[in-house]
Amino acid sequence: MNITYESVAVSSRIRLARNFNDYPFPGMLIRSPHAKEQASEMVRTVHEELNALEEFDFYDVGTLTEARAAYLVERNLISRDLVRHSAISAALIAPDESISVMINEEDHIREQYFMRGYDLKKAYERITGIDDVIAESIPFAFDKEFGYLTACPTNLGTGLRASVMMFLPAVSRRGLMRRLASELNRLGLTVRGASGEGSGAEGDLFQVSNEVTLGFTETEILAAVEEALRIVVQFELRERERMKKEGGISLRDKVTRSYGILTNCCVLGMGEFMELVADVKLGIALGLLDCGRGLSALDDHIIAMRPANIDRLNGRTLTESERDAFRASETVAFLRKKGIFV
Amino acid sequence: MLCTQCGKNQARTYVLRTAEGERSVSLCPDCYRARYGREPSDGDKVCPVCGLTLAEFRKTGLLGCAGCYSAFREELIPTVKVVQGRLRHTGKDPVRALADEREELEEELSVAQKMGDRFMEQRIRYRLSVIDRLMSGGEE
Repeated sequence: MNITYESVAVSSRIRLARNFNDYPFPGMLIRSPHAKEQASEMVRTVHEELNALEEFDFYDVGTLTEARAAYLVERNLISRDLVRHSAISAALIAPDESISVMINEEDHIREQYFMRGYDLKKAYERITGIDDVIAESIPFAFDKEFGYLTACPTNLGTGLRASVMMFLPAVSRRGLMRRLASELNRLGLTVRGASGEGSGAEGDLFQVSNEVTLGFTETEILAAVEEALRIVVQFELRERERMKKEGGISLRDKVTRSYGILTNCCVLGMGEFMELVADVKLGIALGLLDCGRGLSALDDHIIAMRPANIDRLNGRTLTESERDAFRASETVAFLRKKGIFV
Repeated sequence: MLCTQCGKNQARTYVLRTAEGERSVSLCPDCYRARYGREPSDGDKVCPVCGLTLAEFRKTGLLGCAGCYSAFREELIPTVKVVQGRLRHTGKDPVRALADEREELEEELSVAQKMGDRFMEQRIRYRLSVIDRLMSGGEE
């Protein structure tokens, strides 16, 4: 893997949307008086097929505690929509968290593969293998013309969404996101805030994904996303160089000041934490700071510092101020050991 | 007239527009709600499989079942054209994959028969029956 690419393309997700041919889609199913029985039949079928392949952890969303559901949402293993359908929904998650199959989200089945970096072909091969196993006993809703049928026409055809999480501090801080977004739109791709539709760009993280799912093969879609990836990475790297050149002492001051706060604080709210940690990541990416931690270790730390993840680490539900104190002490310990300004 | 579903309550006749044209159903309000999951209404185009109306789709942007794609095909084509740009799927095809698997299994079956391998023959026949079920859309 290319280290420069990795400082921009953080992680990838490939998702396939599928539906059973003979059940109403989840939004309609949930209204039926037989919803529960039909949903458990579906869940059982998918579960049996997948467990023949490998051991998946099973979650009946209806019986999850709020804290556990929030923890899984923060780790992107399940979605808020799946939680909203808790009366009929379930998830099967691989123990290493690389695969999550959500049942009865917007579609009956959402198969997802997550990986660090951006090897989309490998990710697709893995998830299409899972898809083949599920298809061995389930008649998917499929139409010669429209392909895989989905609850929303925006997912028709391949049902494939390839998303790459990108760290774009230079492009976004230099006010160039709109320009990048329109260039990507021209190529049939969208860019949005890190947590998906309608979300803001917390920590300079953006998700780039294909918009169109019908009329192209899976290989063509992946190639288009990879091409866009190259454009975005080059754009970001060019802007980082400019930023470094033009930023001078004030940029260095911002990075060191943020590092200073993160290593010398007692209370740290999530919003402030995300802002400061993005500065530190930018400092690392620009070679202004070596804190003995790589960018991916920092990304793992960000997930671990989300509220429900903190609660899980502590084995109980903390108050917000307890969490802020915990986040501060953990971050100080995480970053303080080896910080060197270059 | 009595409801054609429960046979107890007084029915009303509702005109439903489907892909095959208009058809009427004679149901009492309770059975109508139970079957279509919404308040009785007529005149709107409705999916005969799940009961979703075209008006509901236009409101939420979500379809109710695979059958909606047949019921509302004519109205869906312009929408699909706008959101997708293209109208013909060219990617992975589970039906073609099953047909290919079926062809291979037929060959393997004749080999197993020639060799008198009853165990193998049974396994292949079982998988063929599953494939036939899947290819007919899951109906037994």
